[in-house]
Amino acid sequence: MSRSPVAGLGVGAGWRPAIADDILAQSRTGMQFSEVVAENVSPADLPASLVAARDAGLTVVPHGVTLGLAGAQHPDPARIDRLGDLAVALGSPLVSEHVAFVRSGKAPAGTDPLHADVIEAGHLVPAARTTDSLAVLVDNVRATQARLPVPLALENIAATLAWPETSMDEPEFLTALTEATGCFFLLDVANLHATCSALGGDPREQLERMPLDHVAYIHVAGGFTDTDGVYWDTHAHDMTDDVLDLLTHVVELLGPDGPPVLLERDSDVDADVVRAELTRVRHAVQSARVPT
Amino acid sequence: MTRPELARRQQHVLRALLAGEVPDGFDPRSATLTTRVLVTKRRSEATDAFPLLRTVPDFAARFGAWSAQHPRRGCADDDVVDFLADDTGELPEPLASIRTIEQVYRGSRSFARDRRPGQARWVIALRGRVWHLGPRS
Repeated sequence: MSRSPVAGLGVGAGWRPAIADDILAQSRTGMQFSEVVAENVSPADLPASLVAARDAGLTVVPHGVTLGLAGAQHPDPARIDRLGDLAVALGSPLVSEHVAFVRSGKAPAGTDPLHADVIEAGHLVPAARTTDSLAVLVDNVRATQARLPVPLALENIAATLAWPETSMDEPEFLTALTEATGCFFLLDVANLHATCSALGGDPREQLERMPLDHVAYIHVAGGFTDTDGVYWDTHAHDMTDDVLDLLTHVVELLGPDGPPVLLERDSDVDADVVRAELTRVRHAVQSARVPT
Repeated sequence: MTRPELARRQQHVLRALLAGEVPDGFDPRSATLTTRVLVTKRRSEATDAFPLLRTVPDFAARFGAWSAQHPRRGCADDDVVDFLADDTGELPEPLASIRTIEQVYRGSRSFARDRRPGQARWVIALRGRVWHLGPRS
């Protein structure tokens, strides 16, 4: 069991410019945990309200979205350093990224990366889960860990893509990854629900086989189910009861005062919406039947 | 599978998905859902960068058709101007003027009328330069 470096920090919301003042206000009245998208802030020029929240005691985890560790390329040292510099600037005990690839191809040395043969997906794409792709991922994660000043947690993404060559399911793959690298696991229950909705599978059954002993913290977010029954992880809608039930189940499995829970809301975001959603998150956490 | 082989495989699959094609051997539903995710994300980043795009009639379909043929060359801002320069449908002002002026700069037309609100100028490509002629606003 790798104890989460942020265990016991409760429930928090992701820092976004639109709710910066309210995150600061909440950090002064008890919120202890937040996260900032690494690509959206500069370590040398942090927003004043984010610095004030940190100084008020808020733990802020830099969360990267463009490293693409499951890609075939070696991870970009400049992107790793940005995560590390943010962790130092914010005093963060860890940083997080995703088990995904975000671009393909390789820029030949000396070429403008924008015009080399690199295709940007613009989003997180799942890689095939094979022993070969796992080996490359493990190698990339180890290189990243070696360059970072703090531990790394990696998140399961919302996947709609199933590769024909895949030979492991996601819990097996993520368990092998955490065991090989010692990285922490950022468990996104909304993503797990979304992946099972699109590709099949029982989210509760998969959840129980995930590397739960490596969980650093938990993501939860809103979305909606379309008329074809596919759940879309939008971060723009309120959370569904299915996702909140999964969160409750995680807390039942991990126990109270374990890894904190982070609400991600990216669009249609304002202080009232986030406060109301945080109340629902806390209720889901508190309704866990924890053995005494 | 070595890193270079994995790179080729990922490149092949990603290129197909971005073009709206089903990569060989993939479940068509899974590939189609993923293309939808990628196009939606790209479109929402473009409208976040330039909210006026929401005034384009039938924008989602037009952007989707364009993006399938044009892999992203850079950031969301590049997508905005590339889409406007390539699109051939009706555009409201100021987007219509932005499109024709951009086309002058790209060399695909020799002149344009700047009809943006408050503007009344000609934009003309002449001897390798672009001139904005008329009263300054």
